[in-house]
Amino acid sequence: MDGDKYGYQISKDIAAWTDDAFQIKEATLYAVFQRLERRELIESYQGEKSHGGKRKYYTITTLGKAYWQEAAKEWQEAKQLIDIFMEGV
Amino acid sequence: MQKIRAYVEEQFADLPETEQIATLKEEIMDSMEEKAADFMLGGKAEEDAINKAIVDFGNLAEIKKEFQLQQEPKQKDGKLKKQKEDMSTLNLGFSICGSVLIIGLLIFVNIYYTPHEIWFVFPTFAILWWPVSMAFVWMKARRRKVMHR
Repeated sequence: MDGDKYGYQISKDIAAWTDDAFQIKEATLYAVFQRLERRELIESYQGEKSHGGKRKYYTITTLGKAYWQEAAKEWQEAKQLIDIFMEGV
Repeated sequence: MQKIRAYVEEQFADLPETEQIATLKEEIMDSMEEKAADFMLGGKAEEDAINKAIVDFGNLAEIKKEFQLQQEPKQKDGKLKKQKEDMSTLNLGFSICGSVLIIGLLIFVNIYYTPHEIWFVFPTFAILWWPVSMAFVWMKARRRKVMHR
C-alpha cells in the first residue's frame, strides 16, 4: 500500500511479499481492478511513457480507504471467531 | 512480441472496438510483454518466454466477463424495457381512439335508421373490452417500471 502502481508491478509485489506463496494471475488482478474501479474504490490514470508504452497506474480513492478500513475490521472480527472455533485443534 | 499482440487481439475480437476496450487491451499487452521480458532476463528463449507469459497471465475470459457485466445492465435493461413500455402506451391510445370511432358509427347508424329502438349499447359493451384490456397491460407495464427504479 505504498504509492501508486501499475498492474504488473502489483502482481510482482504480491508474489514478493508472500515469498511466492501467493502468485495472483494477472487476469484475476485486472478483473478485480475493473470491479473496484466500477465501484469507485480505486482510480486509474495514464503514467509517463516507459518501455515504449503508457502505463496505467492505480491509486486508492477516499471511498476505497474507508471501505478498506471497514473490511479490515470485519475480517478481524471473523478471524477472532475462527480462532475461537479452532482452539484445541 | 508480435505474438502477444495477436493473441490479445484474437481474445477480444468478439467485443466492440471502443476506447475503453482499447485501453484495456493495451494494458494487458504491456503487462504480458513486460512479463515475457522478465522471463527472458531470467534466461528463457523469446518463444518460451512469450508462451509462459501468456499461460501464466491466466484466463482473459475472466476480465471480459467483468467488463461485460458493467456494460450490459446499462444497455439491455434500459433499452428493451423502455421499448415495451412505449408500445403499451401507444396500444392504449390506439384502442381508445379505435373504440370511440366504432361506437360513434354505431350511434349514428342506430339514430339514423332506427331512432325508436336504442340497441347500440349492447355492441358498445363488447367493444369496450378492447380499451379495457389495453389499459390493464399499460398499468402492468407502468407498475413494472416503478419497481425497477
